[in-house]
Amino acid sequence: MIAAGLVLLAATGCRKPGPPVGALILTQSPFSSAANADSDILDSRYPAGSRVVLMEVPLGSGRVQVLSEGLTAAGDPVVSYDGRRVFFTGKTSVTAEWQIYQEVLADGRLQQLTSIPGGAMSPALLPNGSLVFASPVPKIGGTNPDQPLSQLYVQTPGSPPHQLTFSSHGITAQTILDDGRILFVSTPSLKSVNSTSGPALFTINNDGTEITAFASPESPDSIIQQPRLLTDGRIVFLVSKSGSVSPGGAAELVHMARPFQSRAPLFPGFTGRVSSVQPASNGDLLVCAESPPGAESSLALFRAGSTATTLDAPLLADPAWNNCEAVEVATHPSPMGRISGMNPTKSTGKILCLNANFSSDPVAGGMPVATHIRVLAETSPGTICALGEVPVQTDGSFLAEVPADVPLGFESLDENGRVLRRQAPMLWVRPAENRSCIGCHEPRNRAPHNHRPLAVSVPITSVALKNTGPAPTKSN
Amino acid sequence: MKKRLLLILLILSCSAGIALWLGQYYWIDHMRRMSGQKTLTSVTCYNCHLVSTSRLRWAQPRPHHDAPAGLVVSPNGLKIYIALDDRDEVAEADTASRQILRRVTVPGRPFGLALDTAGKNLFVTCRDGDRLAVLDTKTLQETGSIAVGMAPVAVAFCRTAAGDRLVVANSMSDDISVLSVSPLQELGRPSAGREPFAVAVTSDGTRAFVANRMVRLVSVKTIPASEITEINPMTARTVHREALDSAHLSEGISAVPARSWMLTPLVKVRNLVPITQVANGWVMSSGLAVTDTKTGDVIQMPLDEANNYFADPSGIAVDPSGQRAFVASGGGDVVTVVDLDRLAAWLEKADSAARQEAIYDMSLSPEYVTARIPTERNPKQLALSPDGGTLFVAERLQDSILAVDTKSLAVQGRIVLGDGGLNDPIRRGERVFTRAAYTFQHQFSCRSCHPDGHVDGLSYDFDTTGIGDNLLDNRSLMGVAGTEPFKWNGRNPSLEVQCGPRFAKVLMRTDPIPQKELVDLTTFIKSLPPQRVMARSADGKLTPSQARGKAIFFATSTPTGKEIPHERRCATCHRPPLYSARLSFDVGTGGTFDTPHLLGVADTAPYLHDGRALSLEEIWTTYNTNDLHGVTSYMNKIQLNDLVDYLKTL
Repeated sequence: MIAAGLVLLAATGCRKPGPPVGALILTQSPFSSAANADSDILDSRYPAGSRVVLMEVPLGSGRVQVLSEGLTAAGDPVVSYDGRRVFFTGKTSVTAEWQIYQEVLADGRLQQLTSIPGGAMSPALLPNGSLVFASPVPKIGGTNPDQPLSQLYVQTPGSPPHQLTFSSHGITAQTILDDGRILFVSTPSLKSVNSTSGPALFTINNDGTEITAFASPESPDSIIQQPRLLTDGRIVFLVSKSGSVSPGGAAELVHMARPFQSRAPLFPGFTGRVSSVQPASNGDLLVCAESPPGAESSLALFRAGSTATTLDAPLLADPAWNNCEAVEVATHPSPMGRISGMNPTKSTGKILCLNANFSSDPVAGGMPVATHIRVLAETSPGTICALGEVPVQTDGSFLAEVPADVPLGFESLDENGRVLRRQAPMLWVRPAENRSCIGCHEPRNRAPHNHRPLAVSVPITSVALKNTGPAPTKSN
Repeated sequence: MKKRLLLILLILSCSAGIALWLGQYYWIDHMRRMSGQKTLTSVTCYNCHLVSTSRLRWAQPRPHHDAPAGLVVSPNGLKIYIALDDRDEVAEADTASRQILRRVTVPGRPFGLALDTAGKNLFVTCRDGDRLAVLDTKTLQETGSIAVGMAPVAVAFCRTAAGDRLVVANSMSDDISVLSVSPLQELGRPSAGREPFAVAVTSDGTRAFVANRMVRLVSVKTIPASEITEINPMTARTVHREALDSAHLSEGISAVPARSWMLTPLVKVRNLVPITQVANGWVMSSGLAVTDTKTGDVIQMPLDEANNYFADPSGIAVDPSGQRAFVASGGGDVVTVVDLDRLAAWLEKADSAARQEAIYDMSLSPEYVTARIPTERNPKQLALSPDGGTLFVAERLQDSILAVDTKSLAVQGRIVLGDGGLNDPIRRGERVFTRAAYTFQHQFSCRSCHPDGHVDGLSYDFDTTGIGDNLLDNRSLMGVAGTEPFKWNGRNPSLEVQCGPRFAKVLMRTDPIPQKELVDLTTFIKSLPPQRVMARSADGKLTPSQARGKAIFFATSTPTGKEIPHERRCATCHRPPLYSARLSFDVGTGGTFDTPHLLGVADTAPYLHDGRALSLEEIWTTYNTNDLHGVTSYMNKIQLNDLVDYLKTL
């Protein structure tokens, strides 16, 4: 009898309950959503009173459990790969900073995970359980150019956060791709030399190495938010006009197969504002959008098929709340992990360029051959220093040892020292990272030609942060 | 009594301890003297003595499986013939019911299949038997057999003005046997590239094209190329040898009806570029060579996507209308569908420069790749029904043949040959070995550099603390069990380390292969026997030249009587039976490197740690100027040839 009881206990009682089938995590915000001028972008997106809730089926009449109980505002939920925990950003008072919280669904335990100055936003999870987030939370419209730029951090449980990105651009939203890379939105700062360019999608590895452009914008005066990977391999993101304070925008997508050539509207037949698109485990899309289109203050939840071109009747339109975001409570495959080759005891990395003269930039009449590369670094926001020059070999290759964890730029120079091409500082290498590129402004998604670059046969040229001066501005 | 026993035991233990303690000085000193390495510290008796190959995993019996190799569908479409090389059998199945009708024994590892036009004779290449067998399809009994080159893997039948012909790709002797069918005799054996592996003939039978798996031997820092060898089946003469730059591992080739095209799947390799990353096809990617049989022009087109790869392209089939090609991805477990009309349209509008650059554009394939058909494990060879309505896919490591409706791309069913062998750790390990899903974006598998566990004949520049300073020759995994440590620097103590974290960090760029799969993987690798011996007579006796070479290999003095120092004798470092003392030595090539074993060494060119020696001869004629790699400076041409002849028997 006792044994049978123990067996029963082992079979049921000792097992942690799984995620409620069909349940959703919703971000709900009140209809009054005026944010003051000093607000940050999360205050605008999740005004006071916003909450993260667990809603069981049937939606609307099922049980609603407030996960952000005790917080003044909350949003941006992410469900762990095992479907048992929810991560979201929240704040304890109107004046407090946004931080990342975790709620264990089984016991309703709320735990603050971050306490980083400037606040934290956009939680995402690595397969090893580490938390990735952006910090600090930018102010609305980037009104203060002296505010530190938002960058990505990684925090393993029980450890302090470590900075992952070292860009001269602001990084505000990210997601984890199935291949383990972190996909993020990079937005030029007001002080950026390259500020005429718009926001773009980039990827890094989970240790911050191998920063790579993923997809470029078509309009520089736009904001990109909430990149998400759908189950069919499309990347969806929300685009709004620069300066817009309303969260969300038009939902657009790129295909993983050709991200630079496939940008298109997700719902060509829907004209309303979309505040969130999340994949469901069956391939459907969970969409939060205006209902009806144009009703600025009313956001409803829709479920759309993966091939849908518009949104039909909402699944849930709550008269008391805007349904801003919806995430399915379900187990989902963990992305690939990666062993880092980074060595934190080092202070430099290496960059190999296979051909500095290879570029997709159209140049009338051809371009003189580069003989040197000037390495630039943005040592503080808006301050660019020349670190030194690296010889370019006759095949166009160069190899340089450069300081790690600082925004780096490059100028290719002809034999007279004139600047042929310029890449403003926005890339970086991590300590001991060996990085390569095919060319300067080379066409995207290119594989290299198979040849042995001459630069690997000559001693490496090192440039360092010391003895730096302002970058010369002579150009052709 | 008890006390006395204890005392004896104590004395014996102390004596043994002292003996061992003193002994280590003896044996280390012994090894230092023998090897000439004064700093040697970590050795055991087993480095040189008490080694037995019979205890190694590859010498043990192993289970056999119903793995499908070659496929061919009868001209009336009613039957499909399947080579089961691991069983020494050929199976006949009904295409409609997908049931096995008959299985017959064909000794010698039957691998490639072809039928004559009437479907009366089935031609079977026997990979280990070095022969071509002829089976009467009515009785499925062997009616003829003829010796061909070494390790024949593919055969094609064609009708020519001079009579029916068979063209056979001999993968180990690097040549092509051209046979007349009646009488069954060899007309000629022209040279191919390295490791010819697939054959296709033009519809008029005037030309045969042979795809080769390995690149030609060239200097290690120059751009490698495999080749497509074109021959005239009537005359058995080579017509043309077209280089495929930086491409290799072609295992299929197919003519395209209604177009003057020959299509060859390939692996586009970038072995000369330092492996600082794998993203964007930095190490390798899959492609399709489009050969214009009228002009001879070859364009390489990508088959992968910008962020998703379909590794290890293998078999290819083209539908009778010439509108679609199907390419198996052995590592990706898919069959890629290529719309040849769309491919032709792209080629039409592209200028010459765009065509030459096409293979480097990883986002190009959606222009002409229209579908990916998922399969079970390790799709290899493909065959189409004569009407093109059904595609048959050999799922090699699933022991099944997948039947796909080519119109809807829906699965019709499977011909089940065996149980998949999941109870066999070696088979499970082979599944891991050939699976690209462990690698970043599924870019490649273990097999991508070690086809059949062997070598791809290339050197790769692996990532280290520096960039471009670690060019290393790829080493065969055949017969590697018991030869630890691994890596050219001899620092990896086991296959578990080599294939686990090391492979993950340097190549896969992901988490290591999970422990359970890793155990299976290393079990499979340890089960790989040494590569077949290239030159040994059937009775195992050495020729006079080989015997003289053996004497040189084991010589302790030169012919003039001058003693050869221990550390400069062949057999000191390459000590039988593994022909490796499993220690590192400086042989004058710029460092100290692990001693590779020599079992099957004749088929592992190039040689030395960075692949600088293109042949066994070059090791001594070019790279042993200071007698560090054995005392060989006394040798004349005949003596060196004798030594090489002997090495080819190992």
